[in-house]
Amino acid sequence: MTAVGATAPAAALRRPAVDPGQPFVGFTFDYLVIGGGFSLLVLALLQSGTAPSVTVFLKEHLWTFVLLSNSAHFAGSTVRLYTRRGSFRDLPFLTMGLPLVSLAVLALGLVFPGALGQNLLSLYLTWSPYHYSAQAYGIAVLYCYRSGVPWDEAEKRWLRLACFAPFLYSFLTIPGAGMAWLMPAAALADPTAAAMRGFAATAAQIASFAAPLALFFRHQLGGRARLPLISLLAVLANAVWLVMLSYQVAMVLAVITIFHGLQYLAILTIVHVKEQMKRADNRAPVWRHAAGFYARCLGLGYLLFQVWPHAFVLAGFSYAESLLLVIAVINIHHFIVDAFIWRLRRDPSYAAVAAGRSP
Amino acid sequence: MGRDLLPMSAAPPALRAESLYRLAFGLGLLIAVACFVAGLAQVAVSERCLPGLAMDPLIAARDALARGDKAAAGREYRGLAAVNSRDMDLLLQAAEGLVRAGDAAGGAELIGRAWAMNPGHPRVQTSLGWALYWTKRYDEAAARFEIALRADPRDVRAHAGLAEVRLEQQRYPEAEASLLRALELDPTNGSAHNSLGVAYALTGRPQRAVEEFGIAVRLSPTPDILANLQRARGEAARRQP
Repeated sequence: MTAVGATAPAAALRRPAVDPGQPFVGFTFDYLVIGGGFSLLVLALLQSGTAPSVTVFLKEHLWTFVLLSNSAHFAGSTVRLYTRRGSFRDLPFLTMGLPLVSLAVLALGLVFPGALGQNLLSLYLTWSPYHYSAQAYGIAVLYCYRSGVPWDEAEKRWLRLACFAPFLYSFLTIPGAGMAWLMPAAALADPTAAAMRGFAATAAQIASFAAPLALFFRHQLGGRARLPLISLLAVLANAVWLVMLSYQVAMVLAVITIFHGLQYLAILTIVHVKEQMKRADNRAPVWRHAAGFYARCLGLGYLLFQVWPHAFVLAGFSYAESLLLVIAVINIHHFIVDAFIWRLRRDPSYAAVAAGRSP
Repeated sequence: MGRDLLPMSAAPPALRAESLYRLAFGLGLLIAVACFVAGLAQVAVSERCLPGLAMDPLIAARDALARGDKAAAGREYRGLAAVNSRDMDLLLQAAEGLVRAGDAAGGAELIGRAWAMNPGHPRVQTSLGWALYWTKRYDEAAARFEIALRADPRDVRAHAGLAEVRLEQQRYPEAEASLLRALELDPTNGSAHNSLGVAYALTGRPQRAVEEFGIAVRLSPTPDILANLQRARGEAARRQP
């Protein structure tokens, strides 16, 4: 051992030039699923148009994939809420009051589709890109924690801004939601306002990619706590989903939701399994906890999205409005629940995800 | 005074709030379970199967049109428009659907709303083209599709609409060219695969028709496309030496 080796921490000497991040499962799984790498490969294939048979296969089985990933991920936040120890005690409104409020809002939306129903849809479409960006931020910070490098509040604020640029772009451009929903049509049609909106959208579009890259290189070169490469990938993948692709095209939108759901389910299952494995009375292997948790998410996802809308058809509403409003209310419920169950430092999830971080 | 002796009115606020929460939870759970049971029963009774996996708001409308139940289809399209009038694409689909369901005035009103939202948008021209097509005004429909394509040459539905008009006018080579362009832009358009199969069948190429109907059935297995596939298979079998 050299003199340097005797005094400097061995881990610091071994740190690679670029921090790849501490994976939960393995680099391949984490980069492809949690980082969103697989989504970029599939979306590039779809956009290139070079493999029409893959596109047809995806379309043919689209709703199966949506159920397996997206519907299950919506159910996942609810399953997580009700299986987490102490949820009823710590979050009484969220666990016991919010379901009834959601049901009441859904019923009112169906009865008053013009006054309330379409506003619920616009609210969910406005909130959804925010939720996506928040998830990208959460994943980026998660890997920062696991890399064991503390980010101060100012640094986290910059990272948050970089993550939320795609949301800003969506807010400015999504038809029927965001600014188009909140501002009067006459104000938006004003040439000066339209030009400013277009300029802001272009700036947000550029910032969605430039800001995370700039942050990554600044931290890489400036001797600051480095942003793990997987965090950068997760943030850029979200930017591709919300900014580069046509968010309103049904097929692309469905594919994006599948990968967003996959990303979420992976993290959620890891957190759940880690917690279960730490219990003193645990006897089951990892796979049984993971399979059990996923089976519950899948079952509830089927009931929520495939069964529930038909109940309102029985009550005389059209399937179209029932499905759209059920989707809107489930989304909004999910966004609210999600905001509480992922407050890392105040949540047992933090202990689960930060565990196993590098020294 | 011991805690057990507190009168009801003096119960701690936290305890009352907890009771209310428990009541709300029980009620919410009961309603949710009732909704799931009702949803399962509705599909089991009406379709004699479990609810499928599709999450397309227009699926019930299309099924109703395929059954010839125009009243049910119209109700679905009007429901969609009532709750989702800010999404231009869905609004236009509802407009075209209403015209197909026999409510031309309702369809025109929705197209007017879409036009007011996005004046001059090529997709509105495309929907107008489809509305004219469903009312058998083929020349006017073709003119609308051509306007839409001049503004946006990548509009798949305008290519497909123009192809449908050309099929009706028995201008098969033009129909085929438009359909091939539509499928180049969107290979997942089941309806365009079906129409291309029709074009092949009508021009004496049953084997190629079978291939196109086969893809169309995978993408949207409706009774009419299944019937086309069976007919084309029969024709291809007859022609084999």
